[in-house]
Amino acid sequence: MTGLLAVVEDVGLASVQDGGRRGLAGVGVPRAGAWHRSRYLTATALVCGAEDPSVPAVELLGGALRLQIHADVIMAVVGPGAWTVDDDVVATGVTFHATPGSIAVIEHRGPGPVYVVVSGWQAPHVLGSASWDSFSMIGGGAMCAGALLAGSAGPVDEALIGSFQRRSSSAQHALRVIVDEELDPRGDLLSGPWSVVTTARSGTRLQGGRFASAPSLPSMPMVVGAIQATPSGEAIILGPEGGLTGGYPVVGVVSSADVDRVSEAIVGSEVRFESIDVRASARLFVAGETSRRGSIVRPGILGSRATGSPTDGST
Amino acid sequence: MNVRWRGDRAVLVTVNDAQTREQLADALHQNLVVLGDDAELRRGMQHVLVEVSAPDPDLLRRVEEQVRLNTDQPHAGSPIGHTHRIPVRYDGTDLADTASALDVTVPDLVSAHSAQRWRVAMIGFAPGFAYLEPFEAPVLDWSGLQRRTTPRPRVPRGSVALAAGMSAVYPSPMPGGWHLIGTSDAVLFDVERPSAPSLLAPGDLVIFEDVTSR
Repeated sequence: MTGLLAVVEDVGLASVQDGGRRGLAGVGVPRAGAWHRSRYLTATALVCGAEDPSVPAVELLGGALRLQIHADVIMAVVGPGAWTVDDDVVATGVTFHATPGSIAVIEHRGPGPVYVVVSGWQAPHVLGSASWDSFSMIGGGAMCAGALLAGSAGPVDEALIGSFQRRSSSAQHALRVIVDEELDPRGDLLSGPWSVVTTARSGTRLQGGRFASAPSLPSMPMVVGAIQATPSGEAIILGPEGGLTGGYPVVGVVSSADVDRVSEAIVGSEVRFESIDVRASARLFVAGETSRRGSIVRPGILGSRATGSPTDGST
Repeated sequence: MNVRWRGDRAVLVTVNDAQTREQLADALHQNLVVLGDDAELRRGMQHVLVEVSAPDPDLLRRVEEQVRLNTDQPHAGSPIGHTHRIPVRYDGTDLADTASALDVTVPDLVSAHSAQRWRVAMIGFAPGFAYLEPFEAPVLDWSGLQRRTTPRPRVPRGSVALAAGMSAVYPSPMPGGWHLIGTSDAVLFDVERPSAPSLLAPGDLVIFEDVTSR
């Protein structure tokens, strides 16, 4: 293990995250892991050649990081940010070859997290994951100046350099939710509008709407994306570090297709919900997964497509 | 019993009693592999939740089927997990107040708490935080004790506590609203035990051993 990169300066909120911890929810350990799974997996695909939830990433939730590069590595920055290497602007969503001696500056712009993946980086695991869980205090802690990203700098895979994520703009829509009509008989969640009071990996608090009643229930298991109705009329959407049990009624759960977007909520902004059934939600999720996986363009593929044929040209 | 989908990747079962919860959780645990890769089983005080790895209505229906299969059948007595003996020094800051709230003397509270066999109903709130319910008939009316009106910002690790009919040992320092009756050196949660970081598992039994005078 050698030092690949060093954090020279941190002014913000950065931690190490990966696909998260699995199989320990029954003993009170949250999944944690990347808050915006799609951006994270895209960053891993750009650097590793395929999506890999075991690969560590820096999750930047605010501010900026200045990194000193110590080895030949390929890196990608994915999400609403900006980055430079030795003062040259580098695009986000692109696989970049960084060489020893250079300085990378990565800035968070938002909304939502920015991910940085570096080839060869091996972050220490605690209970099967490199993810830092600030609620349970499990993992390596927040990423601060002086931190060294260590690993083994293998030969750089030339074929991956210049890979990019094909992107298109998409209109913002309401967050789709599987509503529990028994616990929200008047449809209070959907009537809103809600405004974001605080955001954190543990949960996003919303105010503005109201609930008919929010009885306190015996503590029950919670899931990521669950929307809890509190007695004071707030709605709390649980995040990856959210409590695994709780006694507030769950009036709905955000669709798996939209749960990443909870991380994009900005304090003071408005959030609306719309109802979706489980079958439609599952279909949307699968469509999103397929489209994301197909969104990475490799330079090699570009070459073979130059003839206009997606295959070997024999058709 | 009530079975409902919780979002697009979980099924939540509400049960009427602890016996049913234990039997259902045990049966589902044995069949977890048929519910897809990475299916996870979790318990609440009156709940069992199965979470699957991807949103899939067919998979959720299969979970429901398993729940029905395992509740329709008559079953033998409740399965019992490991029994743990946890040494306690009954020296908690709230010991005297708790005894008077329960209308007993301090020695009576200590002997009742250490005579009761407790069962891990669920683990949650924090890693390794086990909610312990009386396994047999309550030796004292533990449910007569509510949570403190104001929670403490920081309860020390190893605090042995009572509230709302349950007991617990704080696995790490954290905020808490339970009444502190003692302290224990038992290590409830340790990331250096990767195969079993939590000392206690749901369904396990706990006996508190009074080591105050040792």
